[in-house]
Amino acid sequence: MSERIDQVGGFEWGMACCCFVMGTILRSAFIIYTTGNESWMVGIFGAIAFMPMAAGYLSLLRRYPGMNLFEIVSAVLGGAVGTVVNILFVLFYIAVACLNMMEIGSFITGYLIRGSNFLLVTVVTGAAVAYALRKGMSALMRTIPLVAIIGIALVIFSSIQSIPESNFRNLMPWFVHTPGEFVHGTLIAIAIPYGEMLTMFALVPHVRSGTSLKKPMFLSIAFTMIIMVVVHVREAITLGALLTYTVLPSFDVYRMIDTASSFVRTESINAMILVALTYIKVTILIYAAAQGLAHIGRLKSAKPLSIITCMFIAVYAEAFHNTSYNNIEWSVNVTPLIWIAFEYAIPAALLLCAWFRVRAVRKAVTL
Amino acid sequence: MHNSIYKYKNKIRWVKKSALCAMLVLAAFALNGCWGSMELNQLSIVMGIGVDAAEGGGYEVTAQVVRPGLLKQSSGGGSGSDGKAYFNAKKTAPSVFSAIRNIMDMFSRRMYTQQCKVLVVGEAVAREDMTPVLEYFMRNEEGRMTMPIMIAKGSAFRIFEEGTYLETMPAIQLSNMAENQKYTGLTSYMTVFDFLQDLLSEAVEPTAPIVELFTDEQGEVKARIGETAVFKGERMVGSFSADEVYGMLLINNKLSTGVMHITGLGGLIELEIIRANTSVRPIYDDDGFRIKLQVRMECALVSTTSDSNINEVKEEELIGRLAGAELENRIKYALSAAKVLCADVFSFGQMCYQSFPNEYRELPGGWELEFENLRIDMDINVAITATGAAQHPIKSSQENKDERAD
Repeated sequence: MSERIDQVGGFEWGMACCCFVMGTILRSAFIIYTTGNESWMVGIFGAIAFMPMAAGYLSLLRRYPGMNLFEIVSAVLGGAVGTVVNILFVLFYIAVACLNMMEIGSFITGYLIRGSNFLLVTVVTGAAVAYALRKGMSALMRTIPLVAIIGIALVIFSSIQSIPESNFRNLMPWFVHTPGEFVHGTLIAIAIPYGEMLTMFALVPHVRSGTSLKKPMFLSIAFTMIIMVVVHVREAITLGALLTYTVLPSFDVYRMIDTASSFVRTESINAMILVALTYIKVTILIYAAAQGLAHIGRLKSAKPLSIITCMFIAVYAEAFHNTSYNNIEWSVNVTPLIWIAFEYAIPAALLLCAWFRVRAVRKAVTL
Repeated sequence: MHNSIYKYKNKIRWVKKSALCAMLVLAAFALNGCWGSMELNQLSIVMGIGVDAAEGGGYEVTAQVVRPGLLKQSSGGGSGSDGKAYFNAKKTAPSVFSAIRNIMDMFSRRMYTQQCKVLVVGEAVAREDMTPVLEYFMRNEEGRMTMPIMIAKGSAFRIFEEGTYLETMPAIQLSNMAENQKYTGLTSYMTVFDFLQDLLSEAVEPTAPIVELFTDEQGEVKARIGETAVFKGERMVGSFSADEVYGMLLINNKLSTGVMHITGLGGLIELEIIRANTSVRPIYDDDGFRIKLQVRMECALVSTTSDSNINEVKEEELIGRLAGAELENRIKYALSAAKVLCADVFSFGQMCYQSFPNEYRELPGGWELEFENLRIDMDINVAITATGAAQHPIKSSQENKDERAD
C-alpha cells in the first residue's frame, strides 16, 4: 500500500495487544466450561504454549519488516496461492469480527439496555468502528493505552473489592480434571485469547520503522497472562460452585461486590470498560479484514472499504446471534480447531516457506 | 474545469457531512437509553417477593410494590388501601415466572425487580422443592442474587401483610432484620447467592433463617426472625434452634459478635464476644477423616452476679475456661442436631473433598455415612480482654459492706 501512515511506537502496539486479549479474557466462560476452578492454570499453560508461535510471528515480522500479514503472504507464497490464502484470512477475520460484534450486541441488549434492538446496536457500533477507521488506526492506537490502563485498574480494584465475598478454598481441589481437559482448555486458551493476536499484524505498518516488536509482544503476553490468572482466580474464589453455571462469570463477580454498602452495583462501570475493550478488538479485526480486501483488490488504502466492511459485519453478526450457552459450546468445541489452522498452521507454513525461499536465493547467489 | 472539480468536491463534502449527521442522529436514538427506556413513573418497583405453594399445584407469588407518593406516611400493615406506602399483589400460576408476569395484569406499570430487597419462601414450598424458585432468580438478568432469602413459617403472603415497628414497608424491615443477624448471632444471614452456592457445592447443605409472626405486648402481630431452616439438597428437613445455630455459626466462622451466658463463680456471668475466629482443618489418617477445629475468641465481661473479684487474672482465666467449656457444649449441640438431620451444614464434606479428593471419592458409604461418625477434635481458647469500667462486681462490694457492719 502506498498510503501515508501515521506512526506510533512499540508501547502503543504492545498495549493494543493487551487490550485485544483483555477483551476476550473478561468473557472467559468458554475456558471455565472446560476446566472450572482450575482455569487459572490453563491461562498459564496457554501463555507458555503460545510463546513458540509468538516467536514464529516475530520471526516473520523480522524477515518482512513494516508489512502486514497479507503483504507477507503475497511476498512468501506469490500470486495465485497467496491470493487464495489471503482470501481465507479475510474470511477468518470477518468471522472473528462477526462473533465479537455479536458479543457486544448480546451484552448490550441482554444486560445494559435491555429490550434494545440487536441490529440497531450492532449497526451503531459498526458506524463507530467505521469512524475510527476513517480517522486512522494510529489515532485509535494512541487512545488504547488509556483504555488498557483503566481496564487493568478496574480489574485490580474489583478483585480487591470482591475479597470479602471470596473463599480461597474454592480454588481447590487441584488437578481433578483429566489431562485431556487441561489440554482442551489450553487449546482454547491459545486459540481464542492469545492466538487471535495474529490480528495485530494489521497494525505493524503503523509502528515506526526500526522499532523492535519483540519486547512489546512478550511483555504483553506476560501481562495478559497475569490478568487472566487474576480474573480466573477471582471468579473461582467468589462464585464457588456457581462458577460453571454462569454465562458471564466476570460480570457476575461485579454484581456480587458490596463494599461497606457504598460500592454496590459497580457492574455498570465495569460493563463500560468491557464494551470499550471489545469495541477496540472489533475495530482492529475489521481493520484487518478491510486491509486484506484492499490488498486483494490492489487498492492503495483500506479506508474506502472501511464503511462497507463495518456495515457488512454489523448486519452479518445477526446471523451469529445465538443463545449464550450455544456460543459457549461453539467456542469450546468448534472454534479451537478452526482457529488453530489459521493462527498456527498457516503462519508456520509461511515461516517454513520463507525460510526455504531464503535458502534457495542464497544457494542461487552462491552458485 | 476547476469550477466543476470544486463543485464536485463540495458535493462530496456535503454528502459526507450529511452521512455523519445521519449517523450521529442514529446513535443518539440508540445509545442514550431511549430504546427500551423505563421512566420511573412507568415502573412498579418491587421491594419484596414471596413464594407460596398454591392449592391445587403451582405457585402463589406475592410482590410487595412500593407506592412512592405515600412513602413518607409510615407504619402499619395491610394491603395498601388505607394510605400505606406499599401494596401486596398476589397471583397464582404454574411457575414463578408466570406468576410474576401475571401480576402485571393488575398494574398499569411494568414490574421492576432490580430493587427487590428480600425473597421469602413459604414453608410448604421449602419442604417440597426450592429449585424452581431459585432457577428463576439465577437466570433473571434483572434480579440480584445478593438479596437475603428467608423461609416463612406458614405463608409468605402473611409475613408481607403484617406491620412494622420502624420501617415503612415490611420488605425493608425483613431485609434489615436479615442484615442485623450478622451482629446478633441468633441465626445465619443468607443471600440467594449463598444459598445457591451451598446447594450446588459438594456435600454442603444450605440453611436459611425462618421468619415467623408473633403477637407483641400491645396485641399487634409482627414478624420476627426465629429459628434457622436446615435443608437437605433442595428440601427443608428441619430447623435449628437458637442454641444450635450459635454452634453452627461458630463452626462456620460467621459469629462475629454476640452474647454468652455462663454459670460459674457463684453467679451468672455475661460475656460479649468482641472477636471470634474459627479455623477448620480436615485430616485424613488410617481411621478415616477427622476434623480439627480451632476456636479463638476474645470476650468482654459485660455483667456478673458473682461476688468473686473477677478482675483478678486467675479469675479471668477461670471465666475463659468456663466460656470455652460452654462453647464446646454449643458446638457439640450443633453437631448432634446436624447429624440427626443428616445435613452437613458446616461444609466439612466440601473441605474434605477439597483437601483429599481421591480419598473422598473412595468413601464406601458416601459422605453422609462418614458425617454421622465424623470425629471432631476441638481446641477452644477464650480470652477475657476487657472488663469494662468497673473494678469490682457490685455484689462483692455489698458483701464486704455487710461484713464490716457485722
